[in-house]
Amino acid sequence: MANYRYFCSILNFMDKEQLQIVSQELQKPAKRAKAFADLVRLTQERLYWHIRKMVLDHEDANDILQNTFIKAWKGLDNFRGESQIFTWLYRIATNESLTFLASQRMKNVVSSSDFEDVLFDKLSADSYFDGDEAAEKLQKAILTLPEKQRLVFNMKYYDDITYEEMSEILGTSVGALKASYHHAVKKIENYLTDSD
Amino acid sequence: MDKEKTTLIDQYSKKSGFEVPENYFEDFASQFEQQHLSTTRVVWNRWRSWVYAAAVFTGIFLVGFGFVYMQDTIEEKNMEYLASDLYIDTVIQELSEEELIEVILANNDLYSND
Repeated sequence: MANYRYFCSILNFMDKEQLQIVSQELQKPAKRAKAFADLVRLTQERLYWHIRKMVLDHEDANDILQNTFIKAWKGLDNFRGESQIFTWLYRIATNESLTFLASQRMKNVVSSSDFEDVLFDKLSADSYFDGDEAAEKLQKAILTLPEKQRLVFNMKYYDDITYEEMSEILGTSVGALKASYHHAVKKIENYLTDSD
Repeated sequence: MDKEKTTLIDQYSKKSGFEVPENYFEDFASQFEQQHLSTTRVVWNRWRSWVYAAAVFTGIFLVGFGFVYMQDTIEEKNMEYLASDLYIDTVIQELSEEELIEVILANNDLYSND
């Protein structure tokens, strides 16, 4: 099984120049499909982990990743190139993840248990989760955060995304993002201290 | 990583414990390409709406044509039946004896030389 550590190591090789070339190829109708296939290969891992950390379950993450690329492929004409193609994809993946979580929350509205508990139970049952006790505890702490704050925390803590990039993806000001991350860290700290 | 990270969170590894099936990413990319980006698929997606429209139009035309054809056939059959001996026999059977004599006499008049 490939794991998250592997993902972190390949991040350094994500070549911006290659993405630039792919973006240019996408503008040419004859080369569009081939260029999009290259785009999928270049970005799938980073997008997958971004989605996975939001929805936790592998199967759900897989479905959302597919939808993300399908939406991007269908809406390629709407991409005007003002933003980087990767930022655009990241935004679609984020929206898809949030929409999925909202629909799941609605489905669980009748259930007596908290939606976050449902998500955590799903994670524990997922055969593609092999975290130790500390990893489980941290995930549980992250789940106590509101979804948007969780998003900011994951992007900053796990993905090392700069506030400026995050601001472009989420459409929120840098100041608000910094505050959000700060609050998230405090909440997680409190949770971890209390549960010790 | 950043100054904001606290000592407490530092104690936790960034290894989240998430895993994916073996060769997941290789398979994902090639499956996606096959299912959504193959030349046939792209051409099909481009022409799909036109093909659907053509199919609907053909369906409507065939139903309309079938309806008109059936009407004509029914009418034709009716005409054939009216001209047949079977129709004449049925009519004769339904006539009373007096009516029958009247018809015969009328026919005799019709064919008489007077």
